[in-house]
Amino acid sequence: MIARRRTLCGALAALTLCITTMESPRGFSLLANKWPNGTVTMHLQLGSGSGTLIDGSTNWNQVATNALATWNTHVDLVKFSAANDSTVSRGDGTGTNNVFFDSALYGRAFGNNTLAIATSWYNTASNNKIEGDVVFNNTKSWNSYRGNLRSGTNDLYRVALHEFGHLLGLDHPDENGQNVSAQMNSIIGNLDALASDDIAGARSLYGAGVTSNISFPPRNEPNDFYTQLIGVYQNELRAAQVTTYVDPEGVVIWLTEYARYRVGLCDHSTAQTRVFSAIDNTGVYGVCALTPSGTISFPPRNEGLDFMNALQVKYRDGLRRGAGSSYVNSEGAVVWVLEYLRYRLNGCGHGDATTKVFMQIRGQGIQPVCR
Amino acid sequence: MFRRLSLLTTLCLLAAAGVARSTTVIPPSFEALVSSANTIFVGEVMNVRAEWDTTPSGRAIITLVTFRVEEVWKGNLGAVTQLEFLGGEIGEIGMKVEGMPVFRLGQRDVLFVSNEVRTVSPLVGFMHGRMRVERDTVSGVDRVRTFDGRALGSVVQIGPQRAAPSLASITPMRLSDLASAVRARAAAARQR
Repeated sequence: MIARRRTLCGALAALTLCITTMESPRGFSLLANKWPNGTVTMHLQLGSGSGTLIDGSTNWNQVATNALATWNTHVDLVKFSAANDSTVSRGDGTGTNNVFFDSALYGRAFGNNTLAIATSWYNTASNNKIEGDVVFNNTKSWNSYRGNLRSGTNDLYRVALHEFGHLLGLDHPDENGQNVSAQMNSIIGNLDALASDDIAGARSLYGAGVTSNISFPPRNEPNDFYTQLIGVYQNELRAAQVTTYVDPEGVVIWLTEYARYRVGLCDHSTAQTRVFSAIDNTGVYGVCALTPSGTISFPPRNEGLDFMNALQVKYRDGLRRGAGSSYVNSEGAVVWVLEYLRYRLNGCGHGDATTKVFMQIRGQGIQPVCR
Repeated sequence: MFRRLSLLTTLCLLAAAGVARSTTVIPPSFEALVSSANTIFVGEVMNVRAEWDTTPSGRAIITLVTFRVEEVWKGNLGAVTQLEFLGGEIGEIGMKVEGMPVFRLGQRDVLFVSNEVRTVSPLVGFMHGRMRVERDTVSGVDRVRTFDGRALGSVVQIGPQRAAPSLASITPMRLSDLASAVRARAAAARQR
């Protein structure tokens, strides 16, 4: 219990520190040019002849799409868009962004030791990128897998992460006097995902740094609501206990954080990534955009439940938490905590919001918000 | 103590071992650098010029770098030679091949030039076939750094066992020692 509190306190301390300063010591290294804000369409032309790969991907474009999506969850001002199986012509200096396998780069030999090459076109006056291509050497052996590097086959996913990082505008930290763990380091290794330094670099270029314009209730109030909710489930609904890996405090704080990103217009995947980043102490983000005025809408139940299920796995496998028990199952936690927050963010005080949620639980229907 | 330091050094080297990326390139070993190179020379950059290159798949920018040849360690070269690298800047348009070496007037380098024609980079191992020469301002001795400016302590550090940044404080090897190692390796290869 002490260890749990310590981890949570550590995460909260990091959260508080980062929200306060929104700056971290710079470790990443940047190239001179970047994309103007907007969508960068990547024409994925890697073909579908991979068969099922080690990580379960069924084609190369899917692997590249996953790598692009991974970067997307960390940036706000620019988003990659994957055009799968695109048939646009491949060419350099054409203004289209091609990703494909070939034995040469537009007719020029790779050289024996080259696995992949990223090229960028840019305007020298504005330093804005205007084209970016990635060509993978098809004379090499490829697969897609997580974990340590395997002998005899190259992991397309981590190479794609690296090359797309270059397209975003990231350079090699280790070639610029830094000694950090990063996918953008010049030497490929056993790191199979983005590291906090990679993410910090990308966010320095494309993070909106938007501070939420929505005030969430102080933490003690949703905690108090959840304590009462447990009592209702135990004493009124006579619910059976279910196994959970997330303690009540964790349920409340991380569902609240998830809600904060969602009302800040982050999509489900981005919100989940950002919450987990806070849990891992690998970075705390602003929201994706300011919340429009008017009634604040909340994410659909299935997405909240998907987040809660992922949180259970995170606590069990990532934080190595043991199994506990709760009268409130994951679905109940998601539905009612988000309902409580919906009332709170729409003008209701703690007492009113709690009462309205419990009225719903007792079958009295959805209650009006307070504005 | 020495054993512990050796172990630490080995672990550091192993941790750094892998595939270099920029452009993702497998760093060639010293033996591969020498054997794959058609010519190996020490040169000083005399001129850098970019121009358009029209290809069947579009257009590209290439940069032509002219070197005054100081010493030839392998192969045959005249007093001046020119290498062609993909990428460069012309007016307001730039084309960057990530990881491509960038040369500036007056720089001195050791260059391991591949025998392949029409390549993205004419160097063996893309960027790894460039080593920078710097003159020790106190002793006047020429010393060698890798393409990205790390001190090259010995030829053993070339390849997957590249020195980590934390080891950058080692004294770079002498240019003359590298020349001896290259010539010895080239001679050994000829005798096989």
